[in-house]
Amino acid sequence: MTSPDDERSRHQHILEEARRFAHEEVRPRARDFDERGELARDLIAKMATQGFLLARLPQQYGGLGLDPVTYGLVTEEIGKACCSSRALMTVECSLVGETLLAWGTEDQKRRWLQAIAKEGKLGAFALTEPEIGSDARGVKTTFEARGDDYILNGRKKWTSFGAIADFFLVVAMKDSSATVFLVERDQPGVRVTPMKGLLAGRAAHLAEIELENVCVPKDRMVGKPGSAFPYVVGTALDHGRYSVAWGGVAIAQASLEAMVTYARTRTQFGQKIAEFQLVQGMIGEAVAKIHAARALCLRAGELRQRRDPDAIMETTIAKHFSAQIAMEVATDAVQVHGGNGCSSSYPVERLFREAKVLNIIEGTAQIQQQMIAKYGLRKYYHRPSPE
Amino acid sequence: MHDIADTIRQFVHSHLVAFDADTKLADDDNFFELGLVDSPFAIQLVAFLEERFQIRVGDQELDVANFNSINRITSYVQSKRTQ
Ligand SMILES: Cc1cc2nc3c(=O)[nH]c(=O)nc-3n(C[C@H](O)[C@H](O)[C@H](O)COP(=O)(O)OP(=O)(O)OC[C@H]3O[C@@H](n4cnc5c(N)ncnc54)[C@H](O)[C@@H]3O)c2cc1C
Repeated sequence: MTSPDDERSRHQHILEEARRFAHEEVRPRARDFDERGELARDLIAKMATQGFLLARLPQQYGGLGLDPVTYGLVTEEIGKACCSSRALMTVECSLVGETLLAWGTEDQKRRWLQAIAKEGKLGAFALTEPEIGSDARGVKTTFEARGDDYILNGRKKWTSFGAIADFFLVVAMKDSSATVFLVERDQPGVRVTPMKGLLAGRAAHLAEIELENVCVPKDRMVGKPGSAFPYVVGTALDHGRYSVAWGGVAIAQASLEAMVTYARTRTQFGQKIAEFQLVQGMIGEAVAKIHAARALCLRAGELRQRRDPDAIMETTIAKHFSAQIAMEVATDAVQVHGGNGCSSSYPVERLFREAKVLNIIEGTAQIQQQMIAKYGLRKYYHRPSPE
Repeated sequence: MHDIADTIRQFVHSHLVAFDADTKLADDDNFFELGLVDSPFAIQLVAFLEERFQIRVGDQELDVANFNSINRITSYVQSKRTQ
């Protein structure tokens, strides 16, 4: 048994290592990844070796066993350096790893989590389709039983890391009830087409996946038949939102650091632009917004640690807010850079594009607002007392 | 038995999303079908049951049919606790 002090210092050590790794091995290559439209395989392999791909999962399944807060802080460090590397953590650990951990059989956990942790394999989460996004319960991909197997037909789109993943968690429908299946890339009938021409996530290997009479053995069902909504997908998106919330803090923090550094070095009218109060206004707003977003993420992390049922809504709030402020801060960071902010020679150009995506993935801003509004309408209602 | 049912009833009632403040939910009512809970509720409920009753809901055990009324959840928790 390790003592709580030992555990704390182990977590601290991992966080410091993540900081070093992000600074030395990820950040210098982020622009190149974005321009070439791919995350280098050697970096993915290093992230797996370091344990970052399943950082939050128990050590018995090849993870680092991090608590939610430390996991969030590690996500921030990697996300500050490169959004697509952070996206890889979101997909492997939160969308795929946590989902298998919560709903997979012991065999599925041992086989597929080990595959990510130790065998250089990647998973991807395939919910969205060409015609179905926010209205996820309407997925059109179908499954039907044939003997001991299931036959899947349909098309998925926007699958992050789908272009290079070895297996996918696919959400499919039968008689208006959805189930999750684990489909291997090399199964007959699976066709993967990488997506190009993207605003952001250019290095996140997005793909369309076509499934034509794909035969999936019974033991590849994740959860019970009909349990995709609200359970299995709900778990995936909840963990995904927590990761993306920290991804928002990461983009905002990286934007702030870039804007402060630029403002203190750029001279106009014979002064550093940091001395102009209108520029300071943007910096002041950015600092306050980031501190608030990080506080929301930390609170969500603490509630998750306690397995408090409110953690789910606090996570949604943190994701919504940090996605929002990431866009605002990145926009101001471009503004402070002037024309240079519009050039890929400066990271804020990339951060600005990447920030936009956070308002769309794991539930759009409008869907989050409605969830939060329902929570507010319930929690803050006081029955009017009779006159 | 009563304690379990009361605890679950309290949790479910505190999570109802109903604009009509007089909405009633009987212990046998299917709150999903009646549209009285929002989408995060299901996994909030799982987290609550695991934390409160020290049971493990995940893996292959979850049958969605167990989780749509106060009575069904109560029976599920009881059966898990006697296992
Ligand atoms: C970079 C990137 C990575 C992605 N990775 C993945 C992945 O790994 N796996 C995966 O499955 N998907 C992934 N997605 C897809 C993403 O989850 C969807 O784009 C998202 O859920 C929104 O769906 P949609 O694009 O179909 O938009 P739509 O649902 O068509 O929405 C369009 C607009 O209508 C609004 N809208 C829709 N419904 C309502 C409503 N009820 N009330 C108010 N407004 C509404 C939306 O807020 C939005 O502004 C990714 C997307 C991107 C851009």
